[in-house]
Amino acid sequence: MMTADRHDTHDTHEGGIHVKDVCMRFGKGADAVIALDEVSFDVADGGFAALIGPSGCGKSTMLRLIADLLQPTKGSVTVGGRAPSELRSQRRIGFVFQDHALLPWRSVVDNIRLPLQLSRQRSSDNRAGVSDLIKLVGLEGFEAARPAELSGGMRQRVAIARALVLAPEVLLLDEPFGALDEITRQRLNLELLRIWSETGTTAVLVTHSLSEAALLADEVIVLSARPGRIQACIKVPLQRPRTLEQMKTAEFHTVENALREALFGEALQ
Amino acid sequence: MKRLRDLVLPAVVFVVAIAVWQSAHSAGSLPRSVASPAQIYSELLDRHELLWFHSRPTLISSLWGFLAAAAAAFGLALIVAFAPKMGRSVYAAAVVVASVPLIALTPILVLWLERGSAVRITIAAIASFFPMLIGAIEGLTHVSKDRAELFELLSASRWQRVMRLQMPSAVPLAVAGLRAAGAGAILGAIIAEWSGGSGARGLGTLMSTALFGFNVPLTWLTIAVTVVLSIGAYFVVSLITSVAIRRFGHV
Repeated sequence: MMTADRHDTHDTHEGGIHVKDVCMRFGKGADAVIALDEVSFDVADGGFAALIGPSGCGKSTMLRLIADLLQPTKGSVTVGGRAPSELRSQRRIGFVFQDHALLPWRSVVDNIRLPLQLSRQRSSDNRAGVSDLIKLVGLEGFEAARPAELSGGMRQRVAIARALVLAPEVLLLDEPFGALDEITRQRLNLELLRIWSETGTTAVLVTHSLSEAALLADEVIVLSARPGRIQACIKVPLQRPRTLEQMKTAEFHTVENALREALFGEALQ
Repeated sequence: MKRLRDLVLPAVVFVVAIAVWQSAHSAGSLPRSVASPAQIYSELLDRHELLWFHSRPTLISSLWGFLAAAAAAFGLALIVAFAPKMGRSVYAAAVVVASVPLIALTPILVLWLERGSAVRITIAAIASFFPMLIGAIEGLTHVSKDRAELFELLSASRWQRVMRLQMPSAVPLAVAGLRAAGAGAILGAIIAEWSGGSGARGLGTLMSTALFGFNVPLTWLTIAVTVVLSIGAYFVVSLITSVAIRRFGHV
């Protein structure tokens, strides 16, 4: 089994995400809850990492620390050598929320344009053209539709396009497909891989699905709950581009079993 | 089919209630101060011109009061949206205003503003203000957590947040407040008239004249008209705001 001390061989490489000795405490005194305890890991520039763990392990909190939506009690997070706050103020962070967080009064195209409007950029000089993005996430023909008229899977496609419209340095995904049925979910998993490889952005996915983590990520970071600690970092040696076919292979099952063991440990015996 | 049933059932209940009321009156089991539906109806046929003469200024003042209150409520709610710390103070002040007995306020306002439409409009505004304010503030301040985080992630300014997130999110609750306030404006105008705040014309004036002149059918007719106008206000506001609901109504 692989261990969590991968960051001992800290590379000097500037790109990617570096999380070092991060602690996150909510509340004060006796009521304080330690959400994350001494968490360290790296995600290579252009890499794909998955955070997995039981509920209460702080995986969503970790994602919000990278996004500068929360600030760590202790430790540091850097993205491409810079502080998350700097990246956020430059709007270089893409975030896909669990329940899509689309604005229901806006059409698909206006939802995707929202980050452009908030950053006062004209659509003409946006870094990734809106119409190209709509094509990339497969929503041609639905530009004028309202979120209410779309299926759950299509709403998440819009949310992904919106997260990518400012060509972010990192794409953070908080259980984006958690509410979808298995078939839609696997289809979107593959689409996400295609989109990720076409944009070249660094991605971090929070999920509670072992197979989703194994299918998508280069490396899966397994967290334990209360307090959230790194249980294991497991590399996924599967070739890219990944396919659903690979999910049937022995290699895939080996990865899944390693994840299962890291998550449940002795309970499996 | 379902829509039909939705209409038929209340209609049946209404007709049955009228029939019971009428037969109870004929049997003499109601006090003399209660008019029968037939008496009220014939009073309506005889006096509809007088009724319109008195209802028109009441309606116009209710409308102005309603609009003034809406402007004040939405203005205050916007201030709270930009300065959330003001929320508690605004709420406290609004509760005090809503708790003032309007019937006592009218004579005070008459001394101040003199008898006339201004008093009626002011009382109508105060009577309809509170639900609008609550709806607008609650709507502006209760934004879904994910959407709030999205705007934070995108470093949105407070102005952008209010204009592009909070205001559109507020529409359903603000509209609910407007609907609830419509009847309040009409009742407020009538209270002002009833307690002598607006001179010789007004539905409330007609009501009090009929009441103190022991004209039972006319008193009941004015009550019935008040009820109809209040219900009508609810539906008119609903109809006008349904456009906003269609545009901004949530999934």
